[in-house]
Amino acid sequence: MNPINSSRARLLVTTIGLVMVAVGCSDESVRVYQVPKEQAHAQQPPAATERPNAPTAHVHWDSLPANWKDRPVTGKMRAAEIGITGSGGQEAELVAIPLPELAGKELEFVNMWREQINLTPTTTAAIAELREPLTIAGNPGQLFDMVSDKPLTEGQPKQRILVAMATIEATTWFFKLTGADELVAQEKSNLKGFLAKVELHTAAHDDPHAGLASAPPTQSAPPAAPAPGLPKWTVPAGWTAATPGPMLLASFDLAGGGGKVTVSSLGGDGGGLLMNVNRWRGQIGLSPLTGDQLSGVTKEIDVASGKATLVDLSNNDRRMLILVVPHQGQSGFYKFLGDASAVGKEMDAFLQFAKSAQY
Amino acid sequence: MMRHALKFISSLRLTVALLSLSLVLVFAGTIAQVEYGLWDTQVRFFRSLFVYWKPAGGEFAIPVLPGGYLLGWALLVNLLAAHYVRFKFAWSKLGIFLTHFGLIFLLLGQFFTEQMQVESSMRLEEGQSKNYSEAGRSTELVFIDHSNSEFDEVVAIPQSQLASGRELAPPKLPFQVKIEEFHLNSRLRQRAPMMSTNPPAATQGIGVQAELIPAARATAMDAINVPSAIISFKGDGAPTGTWLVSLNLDQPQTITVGGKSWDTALRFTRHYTPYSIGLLDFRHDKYMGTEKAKNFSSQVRLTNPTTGEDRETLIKMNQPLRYAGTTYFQASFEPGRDDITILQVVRNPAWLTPYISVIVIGLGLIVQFSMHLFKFVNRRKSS
Repeated sequence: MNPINSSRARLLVTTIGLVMVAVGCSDESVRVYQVPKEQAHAQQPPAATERPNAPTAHVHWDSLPANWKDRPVTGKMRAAEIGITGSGGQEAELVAIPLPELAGKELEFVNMWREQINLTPTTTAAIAELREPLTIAGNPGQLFDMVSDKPLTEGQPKQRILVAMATIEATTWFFKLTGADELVAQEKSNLKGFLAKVELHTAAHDDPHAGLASAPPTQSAPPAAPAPGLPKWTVPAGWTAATPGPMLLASFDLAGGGGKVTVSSLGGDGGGLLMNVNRWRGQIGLSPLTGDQLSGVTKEIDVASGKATLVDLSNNDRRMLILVVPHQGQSGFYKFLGDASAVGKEMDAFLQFAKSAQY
Repeated sequence: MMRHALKFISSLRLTVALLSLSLVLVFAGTIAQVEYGLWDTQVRFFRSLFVYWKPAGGEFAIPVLPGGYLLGWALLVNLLAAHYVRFKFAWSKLGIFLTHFGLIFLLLGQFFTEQMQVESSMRLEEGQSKNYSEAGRSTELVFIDHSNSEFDEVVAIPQSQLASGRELAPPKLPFQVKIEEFHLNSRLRQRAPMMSTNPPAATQGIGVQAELIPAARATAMDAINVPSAIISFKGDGAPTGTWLVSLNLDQPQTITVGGKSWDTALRFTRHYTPYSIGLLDFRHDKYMGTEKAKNFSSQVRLTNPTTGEDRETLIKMNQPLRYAGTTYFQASFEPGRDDITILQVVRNPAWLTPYISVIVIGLGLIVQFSMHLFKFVNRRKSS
């Protein structure tokens, strides 16, 4: 063996060490670079008149209280949006939402809002006591005032929801004021005064009113069917993917147009099975059920994530199947609505489709 | 002292110990894929100095095995030290020297490949042309300045710098960016005004309409993480409130600071090239009467304004396009879409090293065995 020269040995070890350090320290850093402009770049928000699916419903007002500020509308379903700031920096939000006539569904809505602030559901008998009459755009309406028992988030104030609603012609208008308990309570009288004077329009009109609140959103909504976030499923042959509407993850049309399948997802149990079943029954012209009648229209079936509930509703020649699939603290709703014959024919394919979903 | 150390690092015992540990590492890494998935296992076991294990409920991770980097470097140092200690050039050992040189070159080449190789993909629809590819497993937070009429200036912050609570001061931006929350994997859901009990993801921009739901890290081979972050801005004239950025948002959002606007988005890391590739025709041939893929091919048009090149070429399975140090492989397609191709784009400046290494090792072995053979034959002749 050659004699080992210690200075050469040190040099060897030092060189190897330096190479290792130099190569090992290749942490990613911020890059700044110039690129040619993309031809397909289209960042400018379209004008209100160009916006596809823009809600034509809108709200006019003459003036707002000093601490109320009109904001661009951010939700597809919203007709107006107002931010309210309290003296202590607390914030609240008032939104106006027009929906097709929903008169008679007050209990379901009130319980839905109560659930949002962790209150127990109320009953038909008790709801009368919660109702306050008021005037909305010259029409009789009702106001519901709800406050959470405790803060929804630790360290934050309790939450209060005020909802005013009125059905005018074929539209039910909701005005929902949400925010810190104290601030919303203070603004209750302002809300009543504001609602008494507003003008409500369900369609575009020629009057270029100064207080038009339906400003176009500055951004598009999150993709309703984002490929990376969707569950993986096997779509049956003959189904055609359609553009999903608001709140929907996906939508499919049956070949021949006999029915439509939609998929949505909501947190928790999505408001409860009974409330949802009665809402779906209403959609095909059936009367509401009571809790003990629920078992007559539902049955449990096995899916990959556990037990799912199948709801089967029929009225005349219309049939609706809904499979409620709980997964990871949420509920997936697979809904199949169409002609009774088409739904019956495609029922197996529909169930296979829903069962194939992997979250 | 130094002499003893050098004796140890040049010893054959160390070589055997390192090779044994490599076997254990490969075995453990293979088993770990079940829990962590391929990509995460590669990082934890092979692209690391140590493999760590965290006891259930424990706060500290304990190194339990040397990682791939440590073993690779240790083997290289062991080999170099052995040569240094025992080196005495003789023509009779030429074959051994060549073989060992080839091995050293192979180890270094693999390391440089690991460090320098960039893999990405390019999704093209027929008629579409792109001058960039996208990394499928890393993202970047970008701020794009469109104010220049000739080009867009992009400031790209890599995902590795996005961590909850971190404040960043990227160059060329007159504001600081604070990462309020970062989620490696997440889901976004449109916030239903009358149904949602969760707060909106952010107070400004698109995040007002969305709920952000953190998700577990994706481990399956064909699954990807969908990172999302809540960010805020600091500095003179910077917008107030928080903003949601996510791989799941399909449009950038515009922020305005001091009268100047930037588009911001969290997107797959892009690698730009001075040339563009456009898809003219994608073919997906199947075996007759089956859905089994027989052949994929993409007829593409390569346009390079800097060299004046403008030509068509065909990329097929096992027949990639090699251009300007980058290789474009026909990788995949989108089910149900016969007009979309997915090319795998690999840039590896060290791609030749394994070929050279294998040739040198092979040459060394031929020389060594030939010398022994000639010696043996001559000895028999003379006897």
